[in-house]
Amino acid sequence: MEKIKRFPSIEKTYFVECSGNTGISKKSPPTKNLDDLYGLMSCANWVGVKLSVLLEEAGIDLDKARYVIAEGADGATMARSVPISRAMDDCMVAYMQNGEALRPEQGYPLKLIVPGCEGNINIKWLRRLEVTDTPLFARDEVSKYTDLLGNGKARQATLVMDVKSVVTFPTTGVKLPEKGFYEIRGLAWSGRGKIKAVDVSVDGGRNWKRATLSTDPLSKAFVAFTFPWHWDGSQTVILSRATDEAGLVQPYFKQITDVRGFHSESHNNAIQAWQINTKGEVSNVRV
Amino acid sequence: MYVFKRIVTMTLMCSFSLWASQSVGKYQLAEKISDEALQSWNISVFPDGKNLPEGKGDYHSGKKLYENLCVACHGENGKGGIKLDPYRGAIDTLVKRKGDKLTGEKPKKSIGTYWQYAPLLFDYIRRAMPYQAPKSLSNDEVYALTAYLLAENGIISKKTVISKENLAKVKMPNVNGFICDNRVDTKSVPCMKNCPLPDEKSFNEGVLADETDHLKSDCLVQPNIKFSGE
Repeated sequence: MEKIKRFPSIEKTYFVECSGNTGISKKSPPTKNLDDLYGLMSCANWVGVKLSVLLEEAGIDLDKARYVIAEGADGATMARSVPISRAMDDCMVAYMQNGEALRPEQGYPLKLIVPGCEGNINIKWLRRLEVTDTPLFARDEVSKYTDLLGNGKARQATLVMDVKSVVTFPTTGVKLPEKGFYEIRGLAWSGRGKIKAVDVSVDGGRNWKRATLSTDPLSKAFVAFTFPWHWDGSQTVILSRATDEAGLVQPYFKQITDVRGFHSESHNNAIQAWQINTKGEVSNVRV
Repeated sequence: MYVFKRIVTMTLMCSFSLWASQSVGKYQLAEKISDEALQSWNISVFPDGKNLPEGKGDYHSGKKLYENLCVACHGENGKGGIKLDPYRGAIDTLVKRKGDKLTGEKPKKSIGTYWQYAPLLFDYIRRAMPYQAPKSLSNDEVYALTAYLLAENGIISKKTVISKENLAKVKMPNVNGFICDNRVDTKSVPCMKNCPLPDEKSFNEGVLADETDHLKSDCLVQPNIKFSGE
């Protein structure tokens, strides 16, 4: 560890999201609240070494290298095959999170960050990196973290977390005390780069207006957004829809399940809808 | 298949006295690790059987181990499974049950219906099982459990002795069941005014799967393996 910390360091902000966050469920409307649906994600400031620096130091042969197998020191010695394109691009081996050493549950002393990619490949308690010309086809890239489609085939190595957003106020558990002005607040992020725009609808998706991004968006990181709203006291549904710099727009749930079916389990980046009733109570609905 | 011996030894958490003191690389911070010191760390087993250790096991010895060590979580004959949390159903069964398939209303994933390569059983059991005491099994015991689960799934006979000589040649039923990530698969046309909703006829949801998408570089490229009987 002492030597790892002597390498040139980088400091970056990246989100980490489990591909099972907001898992695909046939139940309509889903019964879960904000925490249950969106709790498997975070965004942090990371300090560490670029993975490419370590691989070059070890003498990687880029003519032959195709994958870097990253392995954790957890009970299952969990391993994933990181494609060389990502390994040599923006992957980092982090030893600090938010200004302090990684906490044990976050992977102390070392955690691999594969920016924008599903949480599972961000290996905690990193103990070994193996450069190979073939993937490992580890349990967590075959039996798990593959997305079964309606035709019985499964997508494999669906690493990128697609563009997504959620309104965090008002949301489930909140009761608006009276009609009047409220600021709708939320988060947006994309594994393909920066958020370009967030649109909000306060009439169930019929009409949309652009929200304000609270800060300049960073690549593969959360950005907060706000939207001014005057609630007239009637029942309505509010939604947010993000667009990223790759030009991709958050789809509706139906668009996803029409292509993938209901059994792909993960990578649901659908538009989230919250219904507000005349009492100001918020519930989770599907539009 | 050629696997590079080069390992980024700097990331190993423990230090070995066996490490050579010779420094390499631009920053002179990397140290070479000897093949001998590397051996105990080098547990990856690849689809073509590369790095499988010596040893062997069969269905009958595996069955005894299974009934002692595995049955509590995975059920009798690998056809059960405990519930891990209230939000989910039971864990996938290890063994394919009659009629289990990957399509329809309730697809059933198991080793027999879903797993891609036979050596993966050895790799994963050795890494992670039994849950309460991973890495407590000998290589013979891991081979035995591998043989037991392959035989219970009807993939090999109960008489087959499994070792590094034949495990990679066992063809898994779902070996060709996986495809590369072909997202983007939903249309991206942001409507702003008088927009149709998903349950309305005028909603243009358009299916879009772009096979040439740049995510292809994430794909796990399948190795060419000659299976038994091919």
